[in-house]
Amino acid sequence: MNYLQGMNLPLEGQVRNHAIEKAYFQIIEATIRHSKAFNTEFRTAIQVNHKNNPDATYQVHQFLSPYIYLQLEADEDGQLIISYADNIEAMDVIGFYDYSRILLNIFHFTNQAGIEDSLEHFIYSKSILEEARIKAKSNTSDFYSITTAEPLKDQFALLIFLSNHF
Amino acid sequence: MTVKTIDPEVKLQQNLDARNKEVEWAYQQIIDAMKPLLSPFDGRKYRTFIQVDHTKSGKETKLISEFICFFWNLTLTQNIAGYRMIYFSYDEESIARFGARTYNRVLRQVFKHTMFENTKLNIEDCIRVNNPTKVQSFFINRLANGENDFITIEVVEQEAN
Repeated sequence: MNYLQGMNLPLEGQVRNHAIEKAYFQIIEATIRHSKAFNTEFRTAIQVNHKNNPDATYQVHQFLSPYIYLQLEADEDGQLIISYADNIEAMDVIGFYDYSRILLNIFHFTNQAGIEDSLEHFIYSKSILEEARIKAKSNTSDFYSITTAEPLKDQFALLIFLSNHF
Repeated sequence: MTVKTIDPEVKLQQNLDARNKEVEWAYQQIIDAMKPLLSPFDGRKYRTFIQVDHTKSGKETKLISEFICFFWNLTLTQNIAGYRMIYFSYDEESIARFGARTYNRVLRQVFKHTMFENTKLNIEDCIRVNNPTKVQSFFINRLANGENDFITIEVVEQEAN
């Protein structure tokens, strides 16, 4: 597993990796918080902890939702990167405001010296989420988990709905 | 003793004016940060950008200012509530052709200059990122129309190797 190679990096590299991993999980937390205004389908995400996956090579962790994928990956030297893919079709559903805020979260938490270039973008493919759903539901592995964020109270949801129209 | 308090409507307008001023400043900062991102490209058309001052166009429009290049379009507008907004669109073909590195770098500049930590007022909600779209054809059309009183065309110097 490439992630473990990170322990062989010089101190600077390990510090950088630590910052990237922290930023990644902060992005996930902010994304989940933001999803509370969405419908049930969009509040549900699958998280995959590949640290427990003996077959994993470059993947460390995944956050898979109908509107965005976030992935923490390690190259062959153990250097971490954060990859993201946004589902354009879903963005039409959730609106400009939420789409922009979700991207803002990603860039906000990686806006630190030394990790700005740790971000990569890839093309969203529905099959990744579909495969993950099947594996998560079949319970064949303990590193898949399905989470559904609690919905926001109605008055906040209305505020966000209105902000989408400006 | 009578205490004079500011009229709430005046206060709201002052807050809105201050916010809009901050958004305009951020827009300019973003443009200044975007231009160097074009310098690595060899082709002149990739280093060309067009700036449109819509306030001088003579047309009634909500658009205020625009920056267009081969890869992206950044627009400063005013919405129906009087809020200045910044819209960003990236060319969908360019991501496929040139990769997403420039896309990420440009997007970072857009968010960096409007992030709460980097502005005097909170203007994070002024940004609207559109789905990747056909910016190229729009850029080429504008280029073909040439310069005039409110449209300027410039080329960024190529980065020395």
